[in-house]
Order: sequence, then C-alpha cells, then structure tokens
Amino acid sequence: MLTFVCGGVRSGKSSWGEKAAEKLRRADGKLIYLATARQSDAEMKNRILLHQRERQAKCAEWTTIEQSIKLETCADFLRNHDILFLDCLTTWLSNEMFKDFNQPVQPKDIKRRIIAAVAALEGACNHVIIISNDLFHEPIPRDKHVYRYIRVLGELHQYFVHHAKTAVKMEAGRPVVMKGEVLR
Amino acid sequence: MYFITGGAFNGKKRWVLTKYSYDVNDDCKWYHCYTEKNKYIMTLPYSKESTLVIEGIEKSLEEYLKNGHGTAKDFYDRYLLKLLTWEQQDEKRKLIIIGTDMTKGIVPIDKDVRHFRDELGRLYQKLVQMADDTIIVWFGLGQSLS
Repeated sequence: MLTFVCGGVRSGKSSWGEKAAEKLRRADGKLIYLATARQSDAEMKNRILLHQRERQAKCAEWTTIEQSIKLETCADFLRNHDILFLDCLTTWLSNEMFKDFNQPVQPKDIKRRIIAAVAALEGACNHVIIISNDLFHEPIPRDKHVYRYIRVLGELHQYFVHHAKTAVKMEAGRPVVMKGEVLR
Repeated sequence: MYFITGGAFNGKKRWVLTKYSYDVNDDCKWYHCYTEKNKYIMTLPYSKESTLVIEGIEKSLEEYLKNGHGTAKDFYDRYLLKLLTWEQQDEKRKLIIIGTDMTKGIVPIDKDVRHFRDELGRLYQKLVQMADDTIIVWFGLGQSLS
C-alpha cells in the first residue's frame, strides 16, 4: 500500500509522515526509514543529524537505511509486515538524474526506473510512505537540466497520487487529505 | 468560462481532456500559447468550433508584457474580453482557459520576471472572478473553487 505526502519546505512533511508510520506499525514488523540524502556539505550533514535525533528522541525503534540511488535494492531488507518511510523523492530523483553529467540518462527511463523501484518496495513490505516537495508554483528555470528534472518530478507525483491509497498535501504542519482517508 | 489552474506539470491538460472529454473531443479548437503567437488569439472568435481551449495563458501574458510595460488588465481587455463575449453569444459555446500558477516561489531577481509574476497573479484573480468555475489541479486531482 502507498501513501504520498507532498508539501513545501518546513511544512512538517517528515514529522507528520513519521507519526503516520508509527501509527501504522505492526507488532510483528519494523519501522524502516529510507534516507536518500547525501552528506554533500556541513549543512546537509546537520540536517541529516537533526532528523536522526528527532527519530531517536521518539523512542520508536526506527531502522535507518541510507541509500541515495537504486532504492529497489532495499527491497531485499524488507519483510512483509514492515512499514517503510521514504524521505524523499525529490533528492532521490536528483541523485538518479545528476549522478554523472557525462552519462546523461533519458528522463523516460528514470521515470520508469523509479516507478518500478517503488513497486518493488511496495511489494516487499506492508506500507510505503513517500515524502516529496512541491516545486511547481514558480516560473520554471530555463536551464535544460532543471526543466527536465521538474517535469519528471511532476509526472512522478501525478503517477503516485493516482496510484496511492492516500495522498496528503501538507500546509504549514497541517495535513490536507486530497485522496483517501487520514491514517489513524 | 472555465479556468483550470495549478502548478506546472500537475496534469491540468489531462484533467481537461478527461473531465471535459465530451466537449474537447468533438467540435473543439485547442489553442497552444507556447507554440502560437498572440496575434492569432484575435482570430479565435471567428473559428467555427463551439468549444475553445486556451492552453498556457501564462505564456501569452509573458509575450504581451515583453512588448512594453503593459498590464494584465490591458492584456485581458485586448485578448480575452472578446472571447468571453464570443462564448456568451451562443449557449452551445464553451471557453476553457488553462494557466500555470507561478506565483508561489521566491521573488525573482530579474525585474521583468517580477513584473510578469505580479501581473500573472492579477490576471488569474480576474479570470477566477469571471469564471463559471475555477478548478485547481493538484497532481491530477481537481478541486473546484465554487
């Protein structure tokens, strides 16, 4: 099963999504945090540490997997009853698209690969929660790479919203349920 | 008139094709602002079709503003007013305008882009005011404002 959560920066996507994951947790399954961010600089490192501390403070037993590309490989670690929290699609897509400028990949192939990876993760566990960012409400940069990135991200969002059982738009810490029911 | 808006790549066009399939499959003129020049908008009230879709109105406004210091109001009066009149002249006629919302990001550094974005916000307020209904499309899901 899939839940899709999207919102602006600091809209509380991760904390709401983590709470939702904890509610979904089953006694016989784990809570798995799939972190896609790379520690590219000190600020990014601090951001990652902050997220890790917040999860530890909640005492829920989160297992963290750090994987920036090819997330389908994580399916091997999952069990049927696990809840997977994927944070986030935006960094994952940029990792896949911009990992090597010398070897450009077709946007269509990347899109297909990401959809297949999510399907593999979904098939291997009980519930996948995907977090992503809303980057679609400003003039689109003319840079070819950025344009492609935003287009593929938008297409993926459409696909996941269509496919998800629950789709949530985060607005300043409040979840607006666009599709399905709130997780209780 | 129906105004369909939402962020870029949110599935606005697909929403129109699905929800207004009856109107847009048959007897429809589909006008792409990204591929055609503004002057052709003037010819639209003379087309035979009873449904008229204008896709990418933000691009037309951008083109209009490049030729001087115009405003959204000038643009509306010059290009869109006639289309609304055209729609009202026959009850079979339907006007659908699709526009990307670009008004929620960081204030652009470039002065002209700032002006464009301000006027785009004003244009959309006007369109919402004139529309029979406005739909905000969020990744394929439509929400009516009425």
